[in-house]
Amino acid sequence: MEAKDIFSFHRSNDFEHVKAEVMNCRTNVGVTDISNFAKYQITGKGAEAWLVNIMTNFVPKPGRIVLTSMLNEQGKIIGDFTIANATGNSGAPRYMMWGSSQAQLYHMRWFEQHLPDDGSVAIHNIDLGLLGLSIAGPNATKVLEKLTDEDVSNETFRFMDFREHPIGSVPAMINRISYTGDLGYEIWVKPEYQRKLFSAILEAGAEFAIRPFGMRALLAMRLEKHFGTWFREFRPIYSPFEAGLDRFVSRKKNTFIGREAAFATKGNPSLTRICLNVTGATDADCLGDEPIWMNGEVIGWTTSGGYGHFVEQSLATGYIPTKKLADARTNGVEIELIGEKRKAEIQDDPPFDPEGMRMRGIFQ
Amino acid sequence: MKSHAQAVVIGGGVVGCSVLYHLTKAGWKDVVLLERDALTCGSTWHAAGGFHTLNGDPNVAKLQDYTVSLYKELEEISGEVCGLHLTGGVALADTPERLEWLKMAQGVGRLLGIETEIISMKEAKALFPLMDESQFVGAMFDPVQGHLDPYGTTMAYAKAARIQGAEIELKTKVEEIVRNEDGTWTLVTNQGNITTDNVVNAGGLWAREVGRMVGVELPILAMEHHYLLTEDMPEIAAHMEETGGEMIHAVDFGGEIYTRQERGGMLLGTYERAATPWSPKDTPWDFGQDLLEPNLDRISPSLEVGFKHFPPFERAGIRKIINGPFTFAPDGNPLVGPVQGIPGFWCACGVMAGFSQGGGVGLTLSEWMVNGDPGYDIWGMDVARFGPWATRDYTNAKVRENYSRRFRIRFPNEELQAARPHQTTPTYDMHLKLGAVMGDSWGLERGGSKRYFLLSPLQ
Repeated sequence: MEAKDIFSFHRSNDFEHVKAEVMNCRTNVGVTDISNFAKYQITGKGAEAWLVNIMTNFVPKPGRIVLTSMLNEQGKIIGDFTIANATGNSGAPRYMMWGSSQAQLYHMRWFEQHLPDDGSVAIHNIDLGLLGLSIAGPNATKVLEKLTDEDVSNETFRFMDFREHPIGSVPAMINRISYTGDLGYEIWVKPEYQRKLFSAILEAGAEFAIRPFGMRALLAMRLEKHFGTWFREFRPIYSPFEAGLDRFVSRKKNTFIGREAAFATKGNPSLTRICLNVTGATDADCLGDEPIWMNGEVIGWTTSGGYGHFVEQSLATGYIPTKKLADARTNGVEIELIGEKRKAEIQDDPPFDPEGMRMRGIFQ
Repeated sequence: MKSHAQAVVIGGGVVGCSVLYHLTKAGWKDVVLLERDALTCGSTWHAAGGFHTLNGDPNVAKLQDYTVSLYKELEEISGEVCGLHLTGGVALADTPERLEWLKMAQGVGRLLGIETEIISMKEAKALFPLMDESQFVGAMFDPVQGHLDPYGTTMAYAKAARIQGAEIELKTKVEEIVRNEDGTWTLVTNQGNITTDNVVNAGGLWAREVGRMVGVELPILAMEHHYLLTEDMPEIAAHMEETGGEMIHAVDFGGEIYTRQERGGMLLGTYERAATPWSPKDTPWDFGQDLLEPNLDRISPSLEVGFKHFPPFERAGIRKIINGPFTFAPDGNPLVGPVQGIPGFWCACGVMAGFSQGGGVGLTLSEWMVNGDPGYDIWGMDVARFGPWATRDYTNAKVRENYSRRFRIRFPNEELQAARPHQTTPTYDMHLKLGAVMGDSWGLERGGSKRYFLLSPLQ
């Protein structure tokens, strides 16, 4: 049977397949290829100071990961990154960084503009010199345990930890994070090892009935967790406080590019990013760029949408003026979906695992 | 010619003149435009001159809205006439899916405060009587579209820029761009040298050649494009007498046709399936106010549909057929901004809709140059959205695909196939065996945009 899409603005024939992938990942374990992320390596004695200056979050300690946004001088979001401190025993500073694939030249241009002239920092765009596979779901640790003799227990290899050791007999870097919002790992290897790693994961996962999942499933799962993405929720027209990135802006740092402009909006951002349960959706889900209506006027817009198969909600995220938030929360809004206004409710918490327990390996 | 300037713009088409005008508006007066031949040569002069606001990307639409609102200001400053005809227009849906698409476009318009109207075919027929309304299922009326005089508008930009301090050098061909040790550029021309901190590539049909002068191959390709002008039509005379106004614009997605009034007749253009690149590698330097040989066979499938959908066209004689080339990037949007790795080299090229987008391109690029930030969200037009994977062959395949699909729907779950697979990871075939539907992102086959697995053989 050949996989073939029936093209439509409505839910189509991929719906059941994506659902199966999401359900397997949420209740068991799935594997996906994440090679297209942008990857950078930052080295040099000035690396830490440079990252402090251009990123909103603090710089992680060795073996740890932080998520961060990057702002322009106007305090608007021009990037979001995952940074791991990969400094080894030699002590030579080394950071690994992941970001949006589509924005890698956009970001390199900014990085190069802000590199110090003294050569104390070097940044290398690794591009496809590093490829990744991610395993995620409640059984992800059990699969990983079969692929290494190192201790990868929940207590030893914690959420937001970074490591370098072989997985499935090939040299690897491992991030304990997952864009699914679930327990999960990203495993990064040189291209010549990717086939062997993939085979090893499939073999180790066979006893758990591991299944591959694709980008459509991944995007559905990130919506369940209300995670934003570059080019949709994160664009240079939003401040981090509007976009709900408050926890990735360090309060302890006195200086970074865009700080003053961004903090001017803190506490009273003109826009607020909201998580919507589109209760009125029947056979079509939001895509982004749909008008959000309240009391007969357009008050905002969606930036992404789709069906959350595990939480069984038609989901959307988007922006409305903060001053309308209380009213919208109480009375609900409507989203114009292919010419029809559909009722939607604002959810204060993401519908999937709002406490973030599962990412930390705690399953109730 | 001056020997030094703060910025030098290469290319005197509508885009280059807009950039020059906006630089002066943003406060840079020491700016020069170099034009190889005469203003508008290349593709501006033969443009059909249409403008509209709606775009699939609301941020690009915002800049198109700015462009359309700019023309009055330009006329006031320059005293030149842009020849504006703000007629409004109808977009015609021939299938239920296209009508859904129009409703979604209406939604995007609302985000910008653009009020369009979904109308019945009876109402559409009253607005645009040349159609056979039985060929369509619905329509959208957009009040903010029309056409203008491409030559007059370019002159208006140029004159406004001169009034505000800019200089324009005609018959001045850039032959070489040299990077000096202090980081400045020296442009070697047939009229002498000029040194500057900032070079703007608004080379249009020659943007690739200008890029090559600094060692970059820009993903741009010129396509042949046909439009024709009919003889005067009695239906138009009757309509003008009846309404006191001119015929509005119409887009027929099924027929891949756009049409508008031109004097007493109509102008009809096509984005035909048999898309044909022009000068795929090098653009001849002696091309100026030139046209290409029309090829009626190529556009006849579109014309047949056109005659069926708009019967009066079949009765009208054809006065003139224009075939002229203009440039496209692989996704049809402009290439704007500083080129990564080449500080001081800026792009304003690949602008296929110069009279809808030229103002916004000039505004954002000038803000970027003068203030260090474009001031708008121009991600959809940023030159950095294409990487080294966008080679000449890749660009050729994608531009042809984009051109031939210009009036076709792209569904949210639809992956376009031209030039793929391009980059693959070593596990590509393993994924296919597992039932993957692949997508591409950043030129890489892995489902960067969308992918799912039909069946899991591992179950």
